[in-house]
Amino acid sequence: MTEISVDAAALRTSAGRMGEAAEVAGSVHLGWPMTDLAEAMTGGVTGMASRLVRTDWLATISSWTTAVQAQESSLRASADAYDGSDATSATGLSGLTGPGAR
Amino acid sequence: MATIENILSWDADAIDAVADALVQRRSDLVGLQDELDDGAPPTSWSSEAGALAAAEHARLKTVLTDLVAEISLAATAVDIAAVAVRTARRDLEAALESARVHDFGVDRTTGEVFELVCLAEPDDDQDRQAQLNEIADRIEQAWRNANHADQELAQSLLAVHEGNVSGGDGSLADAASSGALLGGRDILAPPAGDSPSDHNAWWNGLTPDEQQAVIADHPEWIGGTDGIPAWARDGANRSLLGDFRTDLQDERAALQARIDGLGFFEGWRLNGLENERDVLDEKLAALDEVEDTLALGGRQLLVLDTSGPQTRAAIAIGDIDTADHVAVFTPGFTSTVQDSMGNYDGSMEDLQLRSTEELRRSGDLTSTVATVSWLGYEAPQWDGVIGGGSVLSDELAVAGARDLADFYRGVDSSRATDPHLTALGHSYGSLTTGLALQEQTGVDDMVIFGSPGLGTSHVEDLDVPSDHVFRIEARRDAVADGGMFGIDPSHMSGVGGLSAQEATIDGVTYEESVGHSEYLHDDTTSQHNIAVVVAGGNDRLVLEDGRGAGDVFSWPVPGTY
Repeated sequence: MTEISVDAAALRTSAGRMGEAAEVAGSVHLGWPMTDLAEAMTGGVTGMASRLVRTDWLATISSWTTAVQAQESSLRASADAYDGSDATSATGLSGLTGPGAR
Repeated sequence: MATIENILSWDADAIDAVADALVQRRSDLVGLQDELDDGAPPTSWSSEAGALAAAEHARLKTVLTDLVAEISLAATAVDIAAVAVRTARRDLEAALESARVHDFGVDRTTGEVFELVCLAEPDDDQDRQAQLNEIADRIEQAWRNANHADQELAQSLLAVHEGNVSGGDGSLADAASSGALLGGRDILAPPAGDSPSDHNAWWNGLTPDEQQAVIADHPEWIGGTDGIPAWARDGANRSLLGDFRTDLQDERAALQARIDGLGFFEGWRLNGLENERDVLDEKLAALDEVEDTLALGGRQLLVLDTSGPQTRAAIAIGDIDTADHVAVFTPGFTSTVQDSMGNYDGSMEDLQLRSTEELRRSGDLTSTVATVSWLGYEAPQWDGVIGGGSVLSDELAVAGARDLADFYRGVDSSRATDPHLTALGHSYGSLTTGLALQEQTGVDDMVIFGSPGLGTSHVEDLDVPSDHVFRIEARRDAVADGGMFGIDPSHMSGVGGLSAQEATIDGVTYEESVGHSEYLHDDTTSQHNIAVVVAGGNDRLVLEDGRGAGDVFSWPVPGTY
């Protein structure tokens, strides 16, 4: 039989911290420095390379932030699910009486 | 490749600002370490869902770690490029300004430098051409340095774009450190076979860290390269000393093993192998002499080369990079590093002292003097008297003159301000000096002593200002009567005679120099005269034509030279 141990409060804490990470990362602007670099060295090959990196970094930070937010949501949903399941179980168990019940 | 106009538009301050911005962004992301650690699913969550959450968290951590490493790499590369671009643009602007001031035009597409004015005096041709060449060299190297900076930065950024940068398995701070290490650039190698001014422009285009890296990791690039500042050549050559010694010792050990292993019927090989071993011993002795001389302190090792039949070396006393007056002494027949460097160095030390005294006596309390013992060529030896490398032939002087001319040019090219440069040549070394000075070198004064000839019979062939060519001939110096290479300098019109006889000047008595080898002896009139010239003065010169009986026989027949 699989043992399941869940600390819903810990899950919510983890979720909260991931949410904070997503918020900070979302405010880190990686695009304009590379745009500025291309403008500061016109005619050279750095311009092309910096524009490529700009595109890469914008995509990376955007997808990372989205994925972190999704992770946060998943952790919260898991915590809620475990709380709900436990409450249902508790409800089911609270009506039990009979020999040996106190 | 960026054009000159492109480079002139590059904004080093803006590039610097980009580096700063990237550093700030890196810092912001590295600051997420706590959030990342705390955001990990609890390890007690042991279920299928927990495992999936943990795997996703690990993936997110890797993505962020790699991104931090990439930003760090880019920040380092951009920072380095800012320094390089600033330097290259400064050098390019300075070269273009030089062109403008000297009435040269510059094709900003090709970098070609050309005349804008017609010359009034044909004699100006050579000087103008030398100026034009130097400016062209500076433009070429600044352009090269700028494009190297651009290409290296682009290469670093492309490594990021291609996903070749990993942040590793450690913390975000670790990823930042490892990324920064990857942001360095390959050092631009020196231009091959180019002029001292080319080499100087290349050197100036390196960042200070790169210059130190060249001295440490590529000393062979600069140790013997004219146009490189003396402090750097000295560092590189001292670094090479140990390597040269090790190589020679290994070679000698292998040779000795061959000698020891000769069979009974191989005795005929012995003489040749022992001669080879003797050459190696001489080279090792030369290194000993160089080290002993350097140990005296206050010296710069400007040339060190053990690759030829004889070791070549040049050691300066004082600071070639800053001295107001620099004298370069070239000795002659039988000079070797292993047997002669110490003595010549002693003479140059005395000369430096006496020249400085002349400056102080004239009221100049601040100017400094540096002197060089230049054994940067293979002087003829006794065992080569018969043959191509003989003292009777100009072959070795011709070969040496090319290197000596570059050395003179390198002294000027390696500095922001030209020193007062004096060429000193003794005996066969005066022939080497005379041949070198038939090229454009920037030498301001010339003193030859005990000279068998200058390789020309006309002082006009020497690129030294008129009235700045002097000779000294001591009594009973038969070599100076030879006139073997061009006419006897005693008979050359335009060459000023300085005395080697006893003289009293301002109450101080200087001794006579007699024979071929006393010209640089301390407290002689000859040395005094040389010191006065080196110090850039002439009001305390003791003049004398120095002609003796021997010069009667060396009188040239008019019309034959």
